Amino acid sequence: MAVHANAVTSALSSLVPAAGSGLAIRATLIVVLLAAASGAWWVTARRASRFRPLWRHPLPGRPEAPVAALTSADLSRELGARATFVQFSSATCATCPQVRRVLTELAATEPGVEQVDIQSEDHMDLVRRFSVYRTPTVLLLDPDGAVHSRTSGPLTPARALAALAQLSQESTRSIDV
Amino acid sequence: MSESPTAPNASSRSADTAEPAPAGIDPRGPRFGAAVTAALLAITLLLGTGPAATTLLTVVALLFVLGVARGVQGTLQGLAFKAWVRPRLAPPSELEDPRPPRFAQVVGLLVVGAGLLFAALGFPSAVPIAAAVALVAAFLNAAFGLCLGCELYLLQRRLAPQH
Repeated sequence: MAVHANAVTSALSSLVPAAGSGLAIRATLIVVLLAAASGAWWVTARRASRFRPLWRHPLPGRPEAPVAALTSADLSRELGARATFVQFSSATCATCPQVRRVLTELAATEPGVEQVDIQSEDHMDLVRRFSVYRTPTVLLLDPDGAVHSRTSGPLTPARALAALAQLSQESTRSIDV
Repeated sequence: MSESPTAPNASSRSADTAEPAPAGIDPRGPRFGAAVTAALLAITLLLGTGPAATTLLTVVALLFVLGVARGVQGTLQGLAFKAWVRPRLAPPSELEDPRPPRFAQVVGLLVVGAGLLFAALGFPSAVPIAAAVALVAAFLNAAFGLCLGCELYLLQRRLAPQH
């Protein structure tokens, strides 16, 4: 392997004059670049794959945002009695079919849970209203249509179930109070 | 806000896309292609600036042109995957829509094309810069299956004028 790399290195240095020391620096830069990209991907993917509660703190100087909510009129269908998963998909989305399968399966097996698939290109108003920047993005709505939490990227059934349990738990608590 | 959303597709299939979905492709094909592209881009970076690097980046650009024109399965990497790699693999567990990776080829061509354009205009460092940007995208696709170009699609739609 090392011999191989050396052969490549010398071949490249003969191709490009004065590349000897520059080559080592460039190779190091490539490794650093790819390591940084991997790290950024890992952090982003970890963060995105969880259902995150909605950010309610207003930015300085901005009025407090009202609770984001979707109505059955927005969706042209009834909301789930327990929860509704709203998925934003798009034509160029490679991960969307996988997420759609997970949510369809969940809606079929969990009572009171509905699943809605929104084609983002046709609903840019909703995309802007809910600050959707990538597909798939999934909003989890409570029975009133208020956005409880959201996630993006690949989705496992376990993560979706956990978010559902969290929502049910909080709804029960608010009824008790 | 003026357009009121018509019924979002409630069923599990996205039936409201105008044209029928084309036949699926093996999702490992684009990733194999991205690995080849990443290797070519890494060599481009190692070459630094100069005619050799520019030539290699032009080759990568031509591969992207094939991908834009015929889809990823029609690029040289795609054909190589079909001929030599896929027969050695187990059948894929699921197929993938060929449109997202094809859109990503457009993004790749824009990045690499911009690098070549600026190099031609007298900024030789544009070649390694464009190669580095494209390398990150190709590497993430090959290593983790993340299609960075596909992620840009919705951003581009959001930037389009609001009606």
